[in-house]
Amino acid sequence: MSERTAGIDSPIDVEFEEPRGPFRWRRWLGLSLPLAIALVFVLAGALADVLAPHDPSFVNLGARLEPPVFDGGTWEHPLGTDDVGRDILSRLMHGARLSLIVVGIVVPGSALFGTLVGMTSGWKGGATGQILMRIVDIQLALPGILFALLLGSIFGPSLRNVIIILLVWTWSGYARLVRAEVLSLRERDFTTASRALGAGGWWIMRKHLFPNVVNTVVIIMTLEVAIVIQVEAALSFLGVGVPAGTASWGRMITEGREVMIVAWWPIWLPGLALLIISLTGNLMGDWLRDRLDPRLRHLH
Amino acid sequence: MQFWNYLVVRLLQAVVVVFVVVSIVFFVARLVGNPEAFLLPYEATDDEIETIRDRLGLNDSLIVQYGNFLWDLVNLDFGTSYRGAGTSTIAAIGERAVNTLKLTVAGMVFAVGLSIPLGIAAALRRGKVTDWIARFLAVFGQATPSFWLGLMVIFFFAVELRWFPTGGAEGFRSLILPALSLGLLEMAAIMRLTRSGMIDVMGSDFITTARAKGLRERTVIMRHALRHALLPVVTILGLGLGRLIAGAVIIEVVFAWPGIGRLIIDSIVQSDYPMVQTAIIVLAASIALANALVDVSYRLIDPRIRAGAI
Repeated sequence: MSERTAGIDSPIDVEFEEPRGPFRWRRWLGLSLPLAIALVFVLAGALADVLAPHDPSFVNLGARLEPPVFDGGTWEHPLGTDDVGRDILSRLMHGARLSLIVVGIVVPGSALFGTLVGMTSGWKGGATGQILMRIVDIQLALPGILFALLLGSIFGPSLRNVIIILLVWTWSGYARLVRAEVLSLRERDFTTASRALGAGGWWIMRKHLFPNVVNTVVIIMTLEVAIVIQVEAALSFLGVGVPAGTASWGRMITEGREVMIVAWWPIWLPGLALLIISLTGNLMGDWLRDRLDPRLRHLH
Repeated sequence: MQFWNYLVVRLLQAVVVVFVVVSIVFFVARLVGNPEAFLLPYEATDDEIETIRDRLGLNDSLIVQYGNFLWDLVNLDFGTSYRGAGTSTIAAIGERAVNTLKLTVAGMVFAVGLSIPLGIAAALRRGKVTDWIARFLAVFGQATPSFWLGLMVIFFFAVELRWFPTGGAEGFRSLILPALSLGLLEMAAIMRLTRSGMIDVMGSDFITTARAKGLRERTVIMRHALRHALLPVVTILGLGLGRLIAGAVIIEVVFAWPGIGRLIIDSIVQSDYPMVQTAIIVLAASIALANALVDVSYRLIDPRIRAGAI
């Protein structure tokens, strides 16, 4: 949507200037805090094998539903235990690792592929554009959840399924939005001017289209981190994500649901973990967007 | 005239999309489970198994089954369920689809009704309290997993406070909690896009021009800025419809809402092929139609997109 060529020095921009001074803490909230949380999440996930105090799948029926340490529990299980006595902190850490793997593969993969498809089909139009967009339509017309349920019931729940489903599920969203913007951009004067000067398609895509769609792509990638983590959790919640017994936040919520009335922690803690990591992704994306938006950049 | 041509072409494309989806669903569904094992008692003899496979057409080659399947669809014969003494699947789905439609529409109304005004207000009062509250809500709405929120909402409002039923579909009261849980994710996305779209547009030269002409601020915002800002929002609404339907599957499970999503999950568990097929085809056709209408509405909103560009 943003157009590099217009309005940079127009007086109207002054009206939308970010407040300075007293709101400086927002920068901290916008970057440092999310960055710190993301670091904790990545470290906890990556080093789960080393750092986790217990085996995440060790069942100890003698220690069922022990509360977290701040709610009358012991340091033996800092965040308490679930309904079969497994250590919740350890399960959360291994769940973080699972989410990390899924996000690390799915988000860059689908963004790259979706953006390429969206730009190509928006710019080329014609038969290529048509075919690409029909593939996107087909993609969007088959709800990912149904595809997931079908795959899950044929091959049984597995991490590989989850990744395939999410890749297939998410790329088309980028393609469609990027195409919508490129369609609008290619009618603009600066694109026409560039073409009149003899610029090739690749050059225009790189110099005029990409800088103008990168905003959108970053915004979607941001939203996508939260969505990917949540979809993985939701699939596992429904029983078609990762196999039963795997430490996944979604499965922890399913298991916590059974004892929701008697113990708050088995369902609250994985839910809060999901909420916090999604918040973190979104806040970092906001910050990035402010950096990447050229009209916002000159105001800082 | 050009517009109507486009509309017809776009709808035909939607039909092609539905055809491909139908084919995928057919071949994928044929890989799942053994329907005859479900229909017969464990002690059934091989003869009995053969008879039932014959009757269901499962012994024909895949291509013949596929041909028969397509022909039946063209004749609007969606087959009969393997459950419940040969009920027509489409009849069973019709009833459930109404429930899913209610839930999805209620979720969307909730999301759009709150998010677009909030997005505009946040963009116009950028950096002020309104903006801060809107962004706070959006950030939390985006980040809260809907199924977890659903469970929490059941716990607080249905179990503890007893204001609403814990599940089921009895009257308006039982619709509120599921619709609220469903609408939240979309609400955040629409709000963000409305806001960022409005901020981008408000900095454009044509807005300055409109103001310089002496137009009222209200006219500038509603007639000039909003039409531009809503282009990506329309896209997200189309995409959002698919996401809401996907989300509805989960929300229906959480709230025991008797919709099409729960029907599909139950039918997959029961290896009820015809039911799964019909349900997915109905959903896919609805979404294909919605996507077509989104593309058509681009034309109405953004006149820069001319024939040939799409």
